[in-house]
This record gives sequence, C-alpha cells and structure tokens, in this order.
Amino acid sequence: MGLPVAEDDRTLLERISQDDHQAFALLVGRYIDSVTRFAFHAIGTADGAEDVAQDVFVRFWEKRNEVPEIRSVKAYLLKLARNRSLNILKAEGIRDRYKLLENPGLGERGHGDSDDDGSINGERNRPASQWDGSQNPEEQLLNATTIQAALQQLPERRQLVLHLRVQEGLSHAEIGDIMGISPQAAQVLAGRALSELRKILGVFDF
Amino acid sequence: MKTTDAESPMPSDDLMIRYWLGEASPSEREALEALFAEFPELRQKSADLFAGIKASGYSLDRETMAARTARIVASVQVEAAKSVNNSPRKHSSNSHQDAGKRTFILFKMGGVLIATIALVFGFFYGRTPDASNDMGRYHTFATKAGEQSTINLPDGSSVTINVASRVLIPVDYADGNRNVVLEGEALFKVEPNATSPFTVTSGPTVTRVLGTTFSIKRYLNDTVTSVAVRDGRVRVDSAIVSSAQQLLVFDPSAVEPGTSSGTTSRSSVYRLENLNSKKFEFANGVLAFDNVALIDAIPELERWYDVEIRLMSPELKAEKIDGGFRVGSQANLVSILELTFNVRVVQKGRVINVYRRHS
Repeated sequence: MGLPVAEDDRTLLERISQDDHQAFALLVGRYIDSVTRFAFHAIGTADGAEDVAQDVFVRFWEKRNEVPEIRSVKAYLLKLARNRSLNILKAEGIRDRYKLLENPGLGERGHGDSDDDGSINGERNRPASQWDGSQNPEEQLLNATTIQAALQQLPERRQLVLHLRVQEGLSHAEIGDIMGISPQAAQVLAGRALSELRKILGVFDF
Repeated sequence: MKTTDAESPMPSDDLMIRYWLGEASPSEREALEALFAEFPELRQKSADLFAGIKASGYSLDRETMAARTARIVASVQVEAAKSVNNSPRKHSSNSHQDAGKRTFILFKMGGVLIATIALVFGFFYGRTPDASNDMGRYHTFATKAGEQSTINLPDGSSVTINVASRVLIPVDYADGNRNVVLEGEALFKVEPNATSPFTVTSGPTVTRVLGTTFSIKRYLNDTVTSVAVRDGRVRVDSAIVSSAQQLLVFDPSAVEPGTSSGTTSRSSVYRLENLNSKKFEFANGVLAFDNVALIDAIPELERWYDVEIRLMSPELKAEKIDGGFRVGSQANLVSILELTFNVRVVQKGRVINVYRRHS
C-alpha cells in the first residue's frame, strides 16, 4: 500500500503495453478531446473527426507493444490523427484540405514562410466576421466568443499551429513533426498567428 | 501584414506565448512581469487572449467524451474477451497480435453492435468547472498479494481493498466526482448522496449506486464481473456482456418472490444468484470458499498468500474446497491444505507443490 499517486502518462503506457484495458480507458479519456479537436481542424466535419479519433485510439491499442517508447503521448496521438486525416482526405480527393496538413513543398526547411501560399485561406467559405478591424475594437469585449470568431479569420494553417502551440501546449519540434515543417518554421508561424490575431482583435497592436 | 516593430518595448508574440505556457526563462519572466506591473491592462488582456485561444475550437462535452471513450474501449475489449474465452484458463498474451487486427474489423463491421453497448460511463470526469487539470486524474490505492487495505473517503464512504487489487479514486472526489475504478476485488460502503451517484467501473462493467454496501470482483484476467449487494440497490451496466457467464449479480432482494430486483439491467443476460454472505468475508480477513473446485480456488489462494501453487497430481483439480481461510502466513496455508485434503505439500520459496498422498 503505497502513497496515493496520480497515474501519469508513463505509468499508463507501461500498463497499456501489458494489455491493461483500464489504463487504456484512462488514456483515451485523457486525450479524446484533443484528438477529436485536431481531427475536426483537419477534416472539417464532426462525423469525420469522430471516425478519425476512433481509428487513432484503436491503432494506438494495436501498437501498444511500442508505446512505452513514446515521449509525448499527446504529440504521438496527434501525429497519428494527422496521418489518418491525410489518408482520408487524399482518398476522398479533397485537395484543398489536405494541403493544410501537408507542406506544399516551397522552401519547406527553415524560413517559416511556407504558410503564405494563399491556397488555404480561412476567410474563404466563412461568413464575414464582425471583426474586420473597422469597428473600433478597443470597445469590444475580449471574450471567448470574440476570440473564436477572430481565430477563424486566420489562414487555417496558422489557426492550426496556434492551436497546437497554445491550446495543446506542444513544442515547436512536435508541431513541426505534425505539420511537416521545421521547428523554426513552427515557431515563426505561431508568433505570426498570434500577432495577426491581435491585429484582428485590436489588442496591443504593437 | 507585418506588425512587429523591432523598436517596440512590447514583448514579442513568441515570448508572450512562451510566457503563458510557462516556458519563458527566469530572466524573460522577470522582465515581462516588470512590464505587467507597469501596465496591468497588458497582463489582463493577454491573459484573456490566451484563455480565449485555449477555450476555442471544437470541443466535446463530458457526456459525449465518456460515451465515445466507452465505445473505443469496448471495441478493443470485445476482442480481448473473446481471445481469453477461447484460450485455456490462463490468459495468453500472444493471442493479442491477432486480437488487435480483428478488433479493428469488428469495429468497422459492428457499428450497430458497439453503438448499443456504448454506455454512458461518465467516470473520467470531475465536476469542478475550474479543475480541468484534474479531469481524468486519479489517486491509486493498490494492494499486493497477501495484503488488504481500507481507505476512508472524504464523504464518509469507505473501500476495503482485497488482496492484489487496485482502486482509482478521482482527485476531485471531494468535489462530488464519485466515479471510481476497480481492478480486483473490493467492498464498498457508500454514504448516500442523491446529487452524486457513486459508480465503480471494473473492466467493461459499471455499477452505479446511491448509498449501499456491496462488493465487486474482477481481476485483470477475469472474464466475469461479480457484484454482491449487502444492502441497498445497485444498477449494473456492462459493455461486453454477451453471455450469462460474464456478469454475476448477487442480490438479496432477488431471492424473495414478489419483491422487485435491486438491479435494473438487461436481465436476460444477467444471472441473479442467492446472496452468499461469503462474498463479504474477505473484508473481515477471511478467504471463504463455498464448495469450489480446488483448481478454481488456486488463483485466490495465490493472491492471498503470495505464493504459486502447483497441483502435481491432476486428480486433485476436482477436489472441492469449502470453508474459510483466515489471513495468515504461508506456513498456515500449508497446514490447512494438508489437513483439508489428503495431500503432501512441498514448499520451495514462493512455490508450493501439492501431491496426492498415496495411502
């Protein structure tokens, strides 16, 4: 009877590798929201995101002999989600969307400029937002709804990087791995996304 | 597009991100906090901004998360249960390679089946709105073979954990998240609380109560969840009950004709049995058997005495064992075996070899 210890990821991975279903249940419960949210970014529909999440965790279980080696469970799961989403989008021939996940190929190492390809633009297909910068934003409240609306005006690739960085707390290297870009590019992209977001919201427009 | 001004005293966006993620270096943090002290609005707005980003995007509510989690776990458990049932007594781990592959196919083909068994487990999630970090986190209480333990919970409930078992208590239990997880066997005495049902998840089975005393047994390799109710009512749902063998509910109210059963369940697949008071004996330090074949009693004896028992004469397997064993030393076990059965016991360390005595 030891002291109570919250089960950390490492312990769960060990137990999962020994076919422990309860540990697996804990891990799924811990990460299903992140995986589904990422898949929703990638696929764009709730049903598609649910299917991706299901496939990702089943795949994770199938590969449980390898999981004790994983350093970051979240980054690993999101990489699986990225690969699975990409396969689905390619199979369905949805080019516009899979470019979001796949580096378009121009200058892919190092400069972080590869998102400025214009092919994925969050403003297309979206209703015009109230946040067009002309409404004296200083007077607007900075709440979750307005921030959400402003985020949707960013190019999707920037939304995704900012989401991985701030919401999921991944490192630049982990984001680079998922997005197929260098860590430096991921860092630059995240900073740009934030600065653009601030501009849309009109906060500290420095 | 460019908004960064190199001359600005304002922090860079990258630093701002690292600060709110707790990744800034001590000197960066110090500089930024000095700035925040000077411009409190800067701190407030950037905090709001990061909170907003964190809260953005597609998100699942707790019930949906729980239901989907249950479905995913069930889809891998359905296979595991099959592979265990098809193999001899002991769980064989090498069958899992195949099991994993078939799991996937089953999920794909069995959308309807699995959707119907996706129950609202509701067990991972705390209730405190601001305790999102606690979500899905547990304190683990584990016993080794030969060891028992009772823990008293903040609401007056208690759990007596039997040998070689593990109970997970949510870290926000005191806030009303009374959804615990069990692997092994434990006796629960639950204080009533109408607003916070107490649930125990054991493998694919979820037992829900309001205030009652009951025990649950499901060790890792067990294919049966056994629920025994001493008083009160329980509700048992299981994700993978495909035959009466997989869930036993021992319920006092079920034996009297005319009284309603204490369980609401898909009763066609549940076997209700007479309450056997021996189901609770373990909490008094007694390992009780009710006319059980020796071969079936061995896993229990091994867990209680932390030994490995080998029946060297095959005909011993069917010998019946009846009565209670008080927790004690391994030497105790040896004398009991020799007294109860016509056997000779040879002990080498943790291994106990049992031979039929030829008279």
